[in-house]
Amino acid sequence: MKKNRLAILTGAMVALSAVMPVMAEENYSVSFSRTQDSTMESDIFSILKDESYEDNRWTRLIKERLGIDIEYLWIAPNAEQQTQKFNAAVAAGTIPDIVSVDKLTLKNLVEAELVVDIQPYFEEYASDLLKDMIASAGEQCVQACTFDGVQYGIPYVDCDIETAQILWLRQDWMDELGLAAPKTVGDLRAIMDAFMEKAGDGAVGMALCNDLYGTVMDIKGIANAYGAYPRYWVKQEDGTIAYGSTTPEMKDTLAELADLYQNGYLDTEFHVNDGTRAAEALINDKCGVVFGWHASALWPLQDSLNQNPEADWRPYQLVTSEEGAKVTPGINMMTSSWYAVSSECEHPEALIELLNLYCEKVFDPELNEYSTYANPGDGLEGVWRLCPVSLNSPDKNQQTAKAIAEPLKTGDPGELYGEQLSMYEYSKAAQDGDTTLWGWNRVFGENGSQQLLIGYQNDENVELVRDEFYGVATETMSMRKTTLDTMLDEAFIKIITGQTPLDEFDTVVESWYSAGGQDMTDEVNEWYQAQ
Amino acid sequence: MAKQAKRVKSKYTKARFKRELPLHLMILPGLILVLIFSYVPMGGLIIAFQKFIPSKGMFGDQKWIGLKNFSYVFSLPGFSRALINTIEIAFWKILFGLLVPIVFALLLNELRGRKFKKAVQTIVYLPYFMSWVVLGGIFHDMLSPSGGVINQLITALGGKPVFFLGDNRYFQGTMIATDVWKNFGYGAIVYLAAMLGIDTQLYEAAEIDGANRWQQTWHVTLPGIKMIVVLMTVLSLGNVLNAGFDQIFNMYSTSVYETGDIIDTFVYRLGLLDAQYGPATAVGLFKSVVSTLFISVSYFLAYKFADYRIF
Repeated sequence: MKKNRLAILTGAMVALSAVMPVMAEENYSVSFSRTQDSTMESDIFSILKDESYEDNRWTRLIKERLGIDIEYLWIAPNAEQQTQKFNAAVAAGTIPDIVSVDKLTLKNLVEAELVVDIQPYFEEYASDLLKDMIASAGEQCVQACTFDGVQYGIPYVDCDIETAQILWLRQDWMDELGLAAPKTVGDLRAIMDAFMEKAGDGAVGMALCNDLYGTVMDIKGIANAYGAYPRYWVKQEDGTIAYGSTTPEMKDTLAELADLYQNGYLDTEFHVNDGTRAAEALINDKCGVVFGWHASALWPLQDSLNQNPEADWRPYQLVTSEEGAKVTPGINMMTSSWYAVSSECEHPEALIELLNLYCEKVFDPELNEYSTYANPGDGLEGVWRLCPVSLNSPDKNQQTAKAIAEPLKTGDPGELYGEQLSMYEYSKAAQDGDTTLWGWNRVFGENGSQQLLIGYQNDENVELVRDEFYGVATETMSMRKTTLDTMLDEAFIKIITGQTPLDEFDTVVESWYSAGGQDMTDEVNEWYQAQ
Repeated sequence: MAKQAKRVKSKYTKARFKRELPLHLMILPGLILVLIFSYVPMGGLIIAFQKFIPSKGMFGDQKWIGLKNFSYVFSLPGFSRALINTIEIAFWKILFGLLVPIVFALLLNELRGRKFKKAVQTIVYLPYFMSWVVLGGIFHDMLSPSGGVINQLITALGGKPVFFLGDNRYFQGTMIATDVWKNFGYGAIVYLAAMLGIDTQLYEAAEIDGANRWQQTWHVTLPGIKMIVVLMTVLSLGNVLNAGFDQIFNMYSTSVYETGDIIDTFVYRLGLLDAQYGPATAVGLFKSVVSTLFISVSYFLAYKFADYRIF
């Protein structure tokens, strides 16, 4: 009896496996590695009990459509261990078939001849949708993975314009005090004066934290006003490239910051405060001016609303140092990782086919399977993360802002789907008074930061300044850049806090050049000429 | 003496080996662990003499560059400053880290109430178990010049607020004080245990001879714990280039690099942020050599002056 059952079972399995190859042309497995994501436990696995990293709707779909078995060589518990395991794998020369790496690692892989030229496969297999998405991110991110004319990677494209700085102001205070949008640094000072008087004891003019070049509460916004681009490599008038932290404009910036510090506009402890600590002034109604980026509405400004629902922040264009000058925000290449295929992999086209499939399921408006494969909603968030590869539409946030602008006025979502629908719903709820979702509306809705970024791209009065260096760190850079940056930062902080006079800037720039800065600058210029 | 030693050696027979075999087996797992985790990784030290490219592998075709990694690191702006800061901070930490627990243990030993003694012991021992990540946050708040508890006290007493974590004049002192505060409970327990081991008859005899409290401490207690003090000193001297990465990394900022940047934080920025494994390993090796040197010298001194041998 028992034997019989076993026989039937085996028979069924044989029959089944005989059917499978008909569904897919060919079966093969492709190996990956990944890092565990703690939010996936709560957002996905706690709800979908029968899905795991190795067996889920994406792996099943991939098996069914492409006949590819997804295999993880390892699943690291955190990013640090991922790096360790990956480096160990590189050292052993046995990397997974498809890897996602930063530009330095990619360069190392290319030098060790561990990855293949992906260009021919991309040409042959990529769908139009995929090609469009990669192309929309611009040249830089493809250039960055091209070595000696051979393209080794597919960029995980990201949005460059979103690195631009924005000025965030307390709109409720502006309205109450009858203040107009600031054009110059002087206007901004007048606003700070008025705000500080209003905020009373313990007021801070402008929030800054110890991460001078972070995304929010940093000095980039004020530097851009003076035409300075710290940590960027910027084009000079004579056509050469110089390090933005060392230009004369940077000195003007420091002079302004030192003056602000001297006159009590900055927290005297800003240079030891991390972001969380520095944000307290914003949250506790003690500060109404902060430079940040497009997502600052979600943090830290949403916390301000959570504390005081009356608060309202609006994004403004950066100010300028002189009346009538152009607004000049700096932007840099946001793309920071690339997919590459191991030279051991027997089917390099698998990467392109997987990306095609991803684009089809997540971005194709007609097939519209977003709610199955990307964001089902109702607590089940981000199931797209189950897919071993993913892609970003570089201008998706601007597209979303444009797409939901009209529906937000009429209250009819119409044809919206997927992420755009979610963002519409969040923004709508915020418009209707849900202050816990305020941040989403300030990013995507009317008067939101995405609209402002669209403005940056279209406004004649705005000139975006690019970080001209996007290659792999040069020889001297990888040896000395951190140390040299530290040298500058130490001097900058001392100048701002008045411990040393402004002219110390010239001295430190000089020692920066002699301690390796000159070599670095030469290498960057050489690289730039070669592009 | 020599003859005796020879005799013992010659008596090391099969029978003795058999008898002691279980003991050898018992020490084996520990020995294997030390081999795997302490000796085998030393092989990695070769990286210090290579232009190491991770993708070529640990034993791959790396370029040998002799001592270039060392000269490169020593030539970096800021390294000599970090070295000096390290020695300064570590020196004061070692000194106070030895003195404070001894004095505290002596004082505590003089107390009568057993329960009170135990309670104090436990309370001062507690910070030892706390991570610097947590304590760093707490000290940030407590030491803030605007609104920190310590500075409120200072201003209430008529003083001016002190920027402990942002002012180069105070940063080292703050590091030393907080480190001693965190760890003295541990040292005190070691010394208290040693004091418990002193024969009470010695105190009784001293009392009969008319020794007062102070004389008893000086002539009975201190000589009684001498060996432990020497041991702790010798061991702590190995830390002369360890100024405490966890602590400083969690409390420093760019503005106090001048007095607070130590070798470990310097190498952290170099090795982990820049992924320069060769130079980072070179510094590690440099630290180990200096530590070994210090331990050897102090071991020799302890043997010579205190007639004490650890090994």
